[in-house]
Amino acid sequence: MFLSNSTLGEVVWTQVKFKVNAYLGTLVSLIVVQILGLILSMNGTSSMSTNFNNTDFQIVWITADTVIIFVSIWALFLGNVITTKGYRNTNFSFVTNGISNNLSNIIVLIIMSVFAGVTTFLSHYILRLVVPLFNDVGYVKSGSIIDDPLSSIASMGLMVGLILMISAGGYLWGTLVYIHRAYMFLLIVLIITLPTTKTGQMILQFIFADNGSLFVLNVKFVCVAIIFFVLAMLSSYRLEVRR
Amino acid sequence: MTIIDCQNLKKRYKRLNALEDITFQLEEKKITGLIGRNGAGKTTLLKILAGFIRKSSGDIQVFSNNPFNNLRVSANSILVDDQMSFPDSLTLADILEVAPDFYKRWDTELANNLFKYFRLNPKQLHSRLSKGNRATFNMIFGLATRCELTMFDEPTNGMDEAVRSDFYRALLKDYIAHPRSILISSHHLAEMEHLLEDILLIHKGKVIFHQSLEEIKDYAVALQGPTDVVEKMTVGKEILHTKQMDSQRKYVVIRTEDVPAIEGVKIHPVTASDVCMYVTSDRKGGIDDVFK
Repeated sequence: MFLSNSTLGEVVWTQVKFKVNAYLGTLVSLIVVQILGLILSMNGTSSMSTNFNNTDFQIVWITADTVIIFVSIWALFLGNVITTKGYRNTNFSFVTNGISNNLSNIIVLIIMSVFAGVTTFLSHYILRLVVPLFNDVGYVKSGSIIDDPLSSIASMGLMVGLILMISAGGYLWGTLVYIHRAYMFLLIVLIITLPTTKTGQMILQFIFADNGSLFVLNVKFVCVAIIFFVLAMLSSYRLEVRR
Repeated sequence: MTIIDCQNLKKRYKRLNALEDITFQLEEKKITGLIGRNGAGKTTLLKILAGFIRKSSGDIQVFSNNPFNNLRVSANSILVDDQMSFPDSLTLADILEVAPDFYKRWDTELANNLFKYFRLNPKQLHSRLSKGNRATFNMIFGLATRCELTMFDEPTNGMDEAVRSDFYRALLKDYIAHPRSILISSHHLAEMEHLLEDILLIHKGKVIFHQSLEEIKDYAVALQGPTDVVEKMTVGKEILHTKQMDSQRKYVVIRTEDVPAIEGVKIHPVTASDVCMYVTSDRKGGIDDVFK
């Protein structure tokens, strides 16, 4: 009798290749979401009017914030959807076990987050190009990647960290709901209580405010993502498939 | 070598004991039929063996490992059933292309030849296939993985007559070329009898018997003749099945033993399929008695 012995690393790598290939469709949805966000950003995200010496000034900030919000929702959805029954059963049609399935999902989410983060960061350059074409108002451009590469890379990294954290949240959410539907209510309660109670506010403040630099914030994002992923792995260890 | 070693295996679902007490061992390189009525626990047993679901108690070893969440078992076994699914972003041809990455002994030639023979469309999506074609594709996938433990759960469901017999033939030929352990569940024992060496019959979550097909064929005999004579002959014996043929004649199935030849009573052999049906029957009499 000949038994093939696959190491965990080999299986995870094979699955990552397979999943990136199989989930390419999600990148199309990402691009659609980004374009939608860009269209909605054209009119500016916030504005301020002022009067100075009988001259009216209107200052409009045009940012890619809407794109970021849209992509965040996309990331939450992505993390969630790959834990659903259909995706799970699909993965178990090939060689896998619970650990390799989780690890490959996580790696795929990291790859997708890097792609989504970088493209989302770059998407505001499209605004810089397109917006001046449609009206002739004076524009003050903020620094670009060429003016200040370091801070641009830091923002890009922050975007990746943010998207990764949100997709990890979606992944944990999906895993818990897959284990038992009742977790849905628990999570909704948690999401409502977090910003409305004192302890919740303290936690949120610790993570998202009180940061010396973008780098520290990003490290916190990644740490939260790791915590989410580890919790998802621990809770799904005894999970069955094709029930 | 023992491939599967099951000791007092139990599986409980919330409101149901799917497996009560399963004890058996499966030796390597045999085709075994897993036979049982609806709800006997065949699917549950196969899913535990494939490592998809957990046992509740007892002991189970597949390739000397507990199969649940085990990579070695996953790499060397496959369960083909109607719940197999593949991503919608991959066509059938794509699936056959990625499969060798996972299964080291994947037989590309066999997969492609069977694929062509059954005229499947390479650009089709798995979820869009008809029931019969999906079963056919799953079967091709299962055979081509060439896993040391290949399990089929009701593989012919949905296949038409011609495909069924082709499937059995393909299974047999590939098994002869590359012997491996094959466990195939079905409630149509009669149509796959010619493939099987052993039969594992389970009923209500328990193993009724695990024997060679020959032994099962010799398990019982049927007596058919005048009611009073047949009743006299079978007094005190374990009656597996009875049927009133008409007002005078009766048909009774008993355990095989030397029955004296009596004028007017015919002795018939009982097929393996009928033996399995009778020993798993809970009621005396048949559907006819419902309509009396």
